[in-house]
Amino acid sequence: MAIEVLIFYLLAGVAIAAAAGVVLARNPVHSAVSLVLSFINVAAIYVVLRAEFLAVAQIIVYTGAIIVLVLFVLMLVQQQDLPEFHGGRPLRRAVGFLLGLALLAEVAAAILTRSLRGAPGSWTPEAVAAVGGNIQAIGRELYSAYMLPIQATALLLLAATIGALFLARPELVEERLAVARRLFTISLAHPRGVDTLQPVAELPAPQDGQLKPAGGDRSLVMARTAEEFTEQPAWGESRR
Amino acid sequence: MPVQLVAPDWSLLVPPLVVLGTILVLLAADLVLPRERQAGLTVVALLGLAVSLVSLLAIDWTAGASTFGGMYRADSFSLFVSLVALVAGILSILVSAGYVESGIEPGGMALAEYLSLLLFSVLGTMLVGAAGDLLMIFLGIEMSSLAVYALTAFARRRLTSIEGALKYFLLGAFATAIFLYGIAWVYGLTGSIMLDDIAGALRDIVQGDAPVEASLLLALLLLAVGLGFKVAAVPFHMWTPDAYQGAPTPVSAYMSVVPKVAGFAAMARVLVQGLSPLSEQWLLLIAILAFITMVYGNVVAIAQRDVKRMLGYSSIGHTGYMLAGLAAFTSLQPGDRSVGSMLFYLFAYAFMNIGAFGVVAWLQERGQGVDLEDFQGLAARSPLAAIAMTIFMLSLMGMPPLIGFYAKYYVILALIEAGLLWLAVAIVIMSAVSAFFYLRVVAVMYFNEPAGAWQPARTPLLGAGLAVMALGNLALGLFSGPVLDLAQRWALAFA
Repeated sequence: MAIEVLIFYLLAGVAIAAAAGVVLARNPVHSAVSLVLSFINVAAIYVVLRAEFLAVAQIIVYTGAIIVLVLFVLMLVQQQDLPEFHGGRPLRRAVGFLLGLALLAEVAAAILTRSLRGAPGSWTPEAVAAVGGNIQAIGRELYSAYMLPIQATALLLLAATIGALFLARPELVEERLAVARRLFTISLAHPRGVDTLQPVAELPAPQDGQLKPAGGDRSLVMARTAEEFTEQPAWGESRR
Repeated sequence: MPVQLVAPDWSLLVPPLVVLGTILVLLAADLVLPRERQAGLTVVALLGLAVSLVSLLAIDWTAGASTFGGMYRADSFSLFVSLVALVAGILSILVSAGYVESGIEPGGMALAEYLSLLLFSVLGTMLVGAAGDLLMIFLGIEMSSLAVYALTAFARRRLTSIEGALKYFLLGAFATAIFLYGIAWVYGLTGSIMLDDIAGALRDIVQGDAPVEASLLLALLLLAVGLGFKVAAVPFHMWTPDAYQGAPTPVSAYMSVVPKVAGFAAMARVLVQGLSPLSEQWLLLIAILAFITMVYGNVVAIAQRDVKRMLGYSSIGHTGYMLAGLAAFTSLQPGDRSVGSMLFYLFAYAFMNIGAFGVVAWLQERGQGVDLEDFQGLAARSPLAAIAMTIFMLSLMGMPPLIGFYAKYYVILALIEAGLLWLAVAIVIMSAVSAFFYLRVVAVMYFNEPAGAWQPARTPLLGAGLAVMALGNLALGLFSGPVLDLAQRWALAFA
């Protein structure tokens, strides 16, 4: 028993320290890695509590899916594009700090003076073993006693999906098609296209007898509108 | 241990299931119908809510039956919450009827998604009202506010809309975390998430004059703070003005009422039903919150020129009045008016505030802005709209015989019976303060000359909605008895 308590404190300590690292780290990637550490320690605590299924779910869902999502967002969002979150005036910060300390003291007092303990539920280790393990036990509870919350959660996620899809969708589909038609009039290997996305005037002048500028990447041949595309003279023609 | 599958009593769930069915119809129709032929979906949504409203009649709410192991309760409290949520949902859809397609918001708003999210929020609020445990309360509140976060950002090309939604979402998520932490504490201390079991366990714990444990107070504090965010009580109101101003006007109308109903229903369920043995502790907390909320909301509203922002601050003030109703709680005996007065206030508020936002939307559809200047000379241009706005303003102010007066009157009555005279006096004084900014709108409409271009528009559903709400303010004020009786039956549900 004592060794379990020791392991618990170790895991909990690392989890809390890692959680603090999430908040304190300046680099968002470091925050994400700290989050991984915190999640894994929480999963290990579940193992100590003999909730193996929860531990695996924690690893798969949080450490796997959610962290990958966080890292994706970090990768896709240019950090210099993020708005500056300002911390408020010094006085406000001091008041906030003091209030935070007061809350911490309150939580500490609540934990340290606690004598109340709720009655234990009916799922004792023996009862869990009797049904064949904690996956079976969780399954039975979820799909009998907690049927309504499960369904409500499904609806909640449906609502979230609809909202997220609407907000993340760039434009209404029809508009988007029109935009696509307008913008992406592409001619690959068309003889009369513009050679680069740069305006013609900014390109270095061609050398004698050379139609295309020396060096420089040849990016996608593209014109912004159909008119521009047809009116644009082939590279070099205007220079002659 | 054998699996116990008890067939739930689905007949009790008919009203929320009708709303859910309407959502599914809307989503399916969005797939099939091309966008230009979707105007009829508004009628579908209205019909769905109306059918759900009628189906409330089919259930015997006085029996206080419950199903899903007590997680869903069909009692007189859930009846009233469902009633307010459905009525407010219908009124909001009437207000949003031409607005969504009108092109006021750059880039337009997708009608089917708009309506289905709005109905999701109504559904969540109904689930909170009928919740028998903390888990369902949490899920219901989340459903009702998550949909509104998305609705707030529905004018995606307007930066204020995105800003309001972002603030609402981040602070709302933060509040949710606090609320969940409170639930975890309650569960750890009492061993249950069922509200009745929590109340039973607490009754054994809290006995006599012995000091209450710090852990219980912490749990209480976390729950109160989390719910305080949801109803926009000061000092947890920071998101409110920006969200109300930034959201599309019909969404502002909606979110000033229905998510608030969800928040207050959760407060009543958690504090009055679950934590009533701790009422000595939370009563003072709620009374102080009520006082600073009503003072802050009404005083700051004076300085606003933007009418939507002014209504945002005024809604903070009204949150204060509703909290005062809750603070008048004395006991779970049938004679106690506290929760009943709060419920009646929410009902009245749906008619007053959605109406006021409705007139703003009505003006926007005629090419006007949302500033006080845009109301100039409205009486000369459209006497009916000006009369409707006057009724809403006077009702919000608390002028007899409108419904707003009776709402305040019942709260004050409850406070006096509970011996909280100072809070009753504060309500009267703050109503007088609020007269300044409500009457200013009326004065601008009647005494200033019209200015700016006026584009006539046809908005039959919005007009009908405004007429219903204006008449409702008059009629339900004069004949408030039946509605109040219904609201006063809350004590039967919690006993």
